[in-house]
Amino acid sequence: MTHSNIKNKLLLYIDGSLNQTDASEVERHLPQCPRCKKHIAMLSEIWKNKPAIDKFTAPPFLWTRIEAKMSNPVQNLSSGGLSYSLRITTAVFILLIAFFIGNYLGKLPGSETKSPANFSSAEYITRSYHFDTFQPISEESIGQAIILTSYQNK
Amino acid sequence: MKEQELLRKLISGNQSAFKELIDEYGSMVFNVCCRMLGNRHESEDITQDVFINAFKSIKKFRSDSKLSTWLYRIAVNHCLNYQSKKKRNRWLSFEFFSATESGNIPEPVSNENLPDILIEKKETEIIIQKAINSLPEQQRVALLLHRYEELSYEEIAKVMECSVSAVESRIFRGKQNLCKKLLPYLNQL
Repeated sequence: MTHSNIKNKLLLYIDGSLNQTDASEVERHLPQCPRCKKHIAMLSEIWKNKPAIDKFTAPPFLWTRIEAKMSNPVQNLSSGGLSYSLRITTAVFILLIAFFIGNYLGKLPGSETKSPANFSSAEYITRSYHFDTFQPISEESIGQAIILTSYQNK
Repeated sequence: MKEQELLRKLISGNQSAFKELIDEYGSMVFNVCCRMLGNRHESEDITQDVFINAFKSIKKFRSDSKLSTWLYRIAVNHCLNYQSKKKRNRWLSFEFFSATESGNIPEPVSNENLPDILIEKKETEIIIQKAINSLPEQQRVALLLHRYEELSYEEIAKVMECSVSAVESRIFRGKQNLCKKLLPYLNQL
């Protein structure tokens, strides 16, 4: 094992979780590597430092609080999954309203778009240059535009 | 014997037995929640939910494991669900764009009357706890139950509903990853 492999196994060595082969490799490496030797001393001190581990005591009036929460299931629901599902429902509802408003506005008189078949050739060419027509410019219209421009230039 | 008696009373819906259960296991459940969530206020809420859930599903309890193991399982699952829900809600509420919760570590008790050596040890412990909390979920749970709750591998396997060998491997990989995370800190000392 290389130094980089061994340094990540120091905690396992301290804890006695390494197998015999790996443990003896670590033992062989330690006298040659002052860095690992230093790390192992520090790690074993902090890892075995059990007295510093605090035990938390249960919050006061736990039973009273639980009893209150159980007798008021509405509060219990609102703090959990309901708020999340409510948010999703609201988002879907807003999207639906936006869709219907858009659809309604699109159907208002005057907002109809002419189909390309109903355009005069000049109008068709002009509209083809507009970015808001959403119509792909056909090769035919490009040809017409070239002819029209050359005709106007003459 | 005492546990069997308590269990019998709980199944019959006795409220005083439920109070007894909270007195007996309240601190244990609160400890796990504190270790997993790293926040006292959230842990208090989750502890309450754990006992409410235990009270509602006590009839489903199979006596093949200890009552404490069953409560550990409910507590761990509640904490994991809570954390994933919190993560999801952060995306929805755009909290995602705000600073990350780097200070999400257990609140240490007052250091006023402690000698310097103990304060130093406490700080080191907070660093270890922070490093454990940054591990992948399964490794984190196994390591927390092993180190702080001092559960055996068999008990951890029952809590996590997996095999003993899976627990061994999670703890092994967890310690390896923990060592990687702690080494830069050791270099600073």
